[in-house]
Amino acid sequence: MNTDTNEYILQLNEITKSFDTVKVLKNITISLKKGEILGLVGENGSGKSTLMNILGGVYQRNSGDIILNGQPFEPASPKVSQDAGIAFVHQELNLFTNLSVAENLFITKMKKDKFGKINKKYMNRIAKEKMEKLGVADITPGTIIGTLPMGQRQMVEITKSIMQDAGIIIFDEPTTSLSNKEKLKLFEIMHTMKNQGKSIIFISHILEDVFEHCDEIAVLRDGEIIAQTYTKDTDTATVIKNMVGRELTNIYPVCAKEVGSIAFEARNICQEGRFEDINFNIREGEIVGLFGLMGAGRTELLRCMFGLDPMLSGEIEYKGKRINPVTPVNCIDNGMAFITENRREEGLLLTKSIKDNVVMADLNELTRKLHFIDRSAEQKATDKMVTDLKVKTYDANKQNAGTLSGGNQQKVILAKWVLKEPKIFFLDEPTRGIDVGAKYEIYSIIQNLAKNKSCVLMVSSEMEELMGVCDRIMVMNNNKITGVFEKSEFYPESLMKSAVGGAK
Amino acid sequence: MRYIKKIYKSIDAIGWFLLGFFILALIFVPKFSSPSVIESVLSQACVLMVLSCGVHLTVLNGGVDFTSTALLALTTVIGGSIMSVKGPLGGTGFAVAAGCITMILLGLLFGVINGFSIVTFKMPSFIVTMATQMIVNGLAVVYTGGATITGIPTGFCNFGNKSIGIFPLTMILALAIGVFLHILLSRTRFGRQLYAVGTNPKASLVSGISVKKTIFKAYVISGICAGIAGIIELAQMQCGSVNYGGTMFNDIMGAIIVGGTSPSGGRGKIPNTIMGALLLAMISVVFNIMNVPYYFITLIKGLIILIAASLDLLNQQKHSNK
Amino acid sequence: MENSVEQKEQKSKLMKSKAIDLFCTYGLYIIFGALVIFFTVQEPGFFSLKNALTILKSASTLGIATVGMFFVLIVGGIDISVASNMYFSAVVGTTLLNNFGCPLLLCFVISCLCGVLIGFINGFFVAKVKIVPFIVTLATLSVAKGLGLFFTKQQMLFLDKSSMVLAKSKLFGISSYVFIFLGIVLIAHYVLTSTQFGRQMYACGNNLTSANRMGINGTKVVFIAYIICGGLAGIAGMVNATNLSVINPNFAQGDEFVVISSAVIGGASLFGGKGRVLPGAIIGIVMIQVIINGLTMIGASAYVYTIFRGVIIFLAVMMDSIRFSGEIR
Repeated sequence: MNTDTNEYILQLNEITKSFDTVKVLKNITISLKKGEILGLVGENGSGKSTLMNILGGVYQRNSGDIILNGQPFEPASPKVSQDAGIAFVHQELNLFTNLSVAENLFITKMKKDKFGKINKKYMNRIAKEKMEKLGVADITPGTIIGTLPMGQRQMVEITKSIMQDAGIIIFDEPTTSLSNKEKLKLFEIMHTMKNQGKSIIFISHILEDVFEHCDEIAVLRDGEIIAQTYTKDTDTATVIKNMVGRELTNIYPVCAKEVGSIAFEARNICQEGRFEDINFNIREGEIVGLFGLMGAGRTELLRCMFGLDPMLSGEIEYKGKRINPVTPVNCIDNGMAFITENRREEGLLLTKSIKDNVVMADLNELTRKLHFIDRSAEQKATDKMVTDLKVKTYDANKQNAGTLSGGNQQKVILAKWVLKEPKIFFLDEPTRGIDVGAKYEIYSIIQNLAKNKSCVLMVSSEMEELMGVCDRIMVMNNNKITGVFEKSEFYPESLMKSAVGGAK
Repeated sequence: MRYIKKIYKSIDAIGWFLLGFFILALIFVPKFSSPSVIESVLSQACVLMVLSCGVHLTVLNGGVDFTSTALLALTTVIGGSIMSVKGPLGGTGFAVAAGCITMILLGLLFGVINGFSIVTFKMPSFIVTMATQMIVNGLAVVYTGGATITGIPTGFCNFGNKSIGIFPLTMILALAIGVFLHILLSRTRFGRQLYAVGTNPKASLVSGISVKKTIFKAYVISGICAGIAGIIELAQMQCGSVNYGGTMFNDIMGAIIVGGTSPSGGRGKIPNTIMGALLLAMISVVFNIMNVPYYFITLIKGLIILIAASLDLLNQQKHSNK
Repeated sequence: MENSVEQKEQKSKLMKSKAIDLFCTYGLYIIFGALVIFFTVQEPGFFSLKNALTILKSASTLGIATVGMFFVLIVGGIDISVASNMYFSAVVGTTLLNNFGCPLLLCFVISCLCGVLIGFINGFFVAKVKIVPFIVTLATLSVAKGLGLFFTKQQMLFLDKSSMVLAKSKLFGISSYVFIFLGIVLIAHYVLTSTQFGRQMYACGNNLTSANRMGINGTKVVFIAYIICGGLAGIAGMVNATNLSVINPNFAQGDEFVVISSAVIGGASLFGGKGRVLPGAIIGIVMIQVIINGLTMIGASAYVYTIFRGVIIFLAVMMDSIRFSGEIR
């Protein structure tokens, strides 16, 4: 590592951070040169947000040091971080939709006169100046944020960062809700800022953008920096490999089963502003993987087909029978199951017992006459699931789901659905954040489902996992299916090529 | 021995409060140990118990139902006038039955209105139920012009006044409702759905629970309970009046929160609310015997809610930090 | 071909949501207009200057409390203890007037401070302990009521005759109460629109998490909102007392709903971040008072207007909720 500290504006050395017993950041060493744009890539759960929140003073790190402008730096709170010149343009904008642009920019440092009266003219003028400096001339400072489209709101958020004369600006997935035109504007602004001597950290999953605009690229995976290199010294394939490659010690269960004929069909799936005519099918007993990078649209496709997000048009069918209307209740009645990406928010009742969680989707089956729940059946089902799926708990009736480890939590969610013996099983990143041993167990469970003639659709960012478990892999990019690969065609390079947009 | 241990473990804090207060009252409050006083405690607790259990369901969802107290007024006056109607059918068992059914239907009606507004328009429950409370109160006063409804059939009033030993007959109905709701919440599908929705509506939706239907049902049941509470009140007071229920809401919230049900929803057992109601009824009677002035009672009841809610929050935090 | 079908669907969806939007924004005014016409037809004396002045005078008392409620609603809270607060504060102020011969102005100050005390308790439990606002204010409703009853020993309390001066005094034929009310509205308007603190209140009501992230002390802002509401309720209580010259144990009973309705009709939202005191507080309380006055004039029993109050607040909140569910915050 270069010890010439004048070149670096920011250095993070061996940062670690744990939440309860889960180690989120294991050993982060990363550096940002003055006047440089550093691209930070990594998938969901790799620790990007945590790292940035530590820099921004929202969380406190457990160990390691931060050196800002050659001096040790303690981001004890958001205010400290802001005052030190670090500006954060979050993915979720911190704007107040009921106030004007200027008021949002000045919300804690308004220009007042002797009596405390705010000087609106002054603030409007300065706001206009700053926005023009960035090259954003078309927003009137008096406009209420609530009336602005997302793209312009983001421009305002960016303007906030230069209000404080920040030296370091961090952009967290800024292009997610932008149109192409707005994206171009954003990059223009970034380069303008770079020319003004600012240093930028650009977090994005769109490798195309990262390669085009960043001077250096750092890859984050599972809480560690895998590599930090100059953009010119690396290429897309290497970066992807660094992003998704995991220990090659994954063992995949071998399972003898039969794959039957087409059982599940999705036709002409359209969602406003996202999907245009998605078609695919799954055979009985088949495990189909859905690969792609962040933002490809995989989670959104699953949510759309389960009725959690609106579907503009399209049909889903199981064995010739159309599933309509597409709502969670109806889909479940027709034998569908969905394990979502975010365990804690949409998968579990954290303050309730494991038993409550395991049975919650199957209440109809457990109900007997007069709407009574069959308690012995409920207990039997829980015990069976806990044993079959090897959930580690001291008492399924007493332990709260919130106190389980990540892997066990995922198993509880799986148990909830496996109990229903679903015919169509959607899984979204089922093994993320889970240790190797538990992963094997989960693969076995999935294989068993397929053996029992279910159709399984599994989203994962881990190519190797999909190659080891699936019979077929579909790849998505930019809300389209860009490739479908049979087992004989499972080559990492071809899969990657589809994932970054090259059609098969 | 194991069975006794099991019961011991399942008694929550409220049980010990209740027992403790009861013993203290026996020792320090004169006349408390007399059977007529105990009987009056139980008698007063009936209406509070039924109302609290009904509102309990709405609190499980992070909401509240202010309409229940006003429904006491409306149902007793309308039910009372049906029962005491002049003419051949007045005063007969038929009139009593018709009156009771009407009262329950009234409760159901407003429960439906509340549930519908909250679920369809996403209106905050406290304001919706406050608005319906005003409307219901107003309707009651318009109906009677302020007069009380008398002439309630004696048979029905006997139900309100007779007891078996110290155990009032009305308590049987109240406990029956309590037991019914307890079984509903702990043993039926609806109960599981309600607890799930109160804990995490998003996860419930993904798991196939109809969040809207569940919340709607909670308010309907609360309304029905208010109707039944009206039946008990009418029987006990032997007349229908628009003044019933006015200050009762403090007692209801007190019973629920002190009983250990969290205002933010997701947990809380009916037996605890029943004990909470008993405790509050006991406190009221003790205050009465000791001639505690009304202002003090009001003050204390407000403080009880504040302290209980704060303790509940602290308790929650302790659990989540573990 | 499919495009035009989709376009038609989109168009009708847009028109539908526009219609709902119009209904929510103007619906109440239309209903109000219809009621005014109805009252005038029934009782021509309704639509007269004299009546208007009477309405303004009676609106001013609760109007002051409405201004306070705006502050709490803007930060996204609610305060149902205002009526009991008015009672307690008025009682203390009156006791000082009667028993210690304090000058009227001092009594007002003390009343305000009593209101501030209640507001302080509210603010503490809502902002610091973080208990749900309606439970906290439900509890302080009882506490304030209890304290008030304590001081009056649950009896009526008559005000010393010296207070009648205020009730009778007029400026240009308009009761001085109106000027007090307008003065408070103007001060509140200034604070809310022209001070940083006021703008921060709107920010907190819109998005408390973002506010805290931006470095605003959200806890402090919410705390102060409740204190202001309490203080204004205290003043409103004393004003109401001087108007009635007597404080009954059921003083201001049920008025918390009038105050909340007025605020919501006047543009504040139960979901926070909205509301202009000028002219909102004035419009809100005047509208409610007009309806009360109209109902009295046509001889409707007092009970009818309880129902009206309930229906009005229901409609106002329904429109507020519909509007809110369409927002992207």
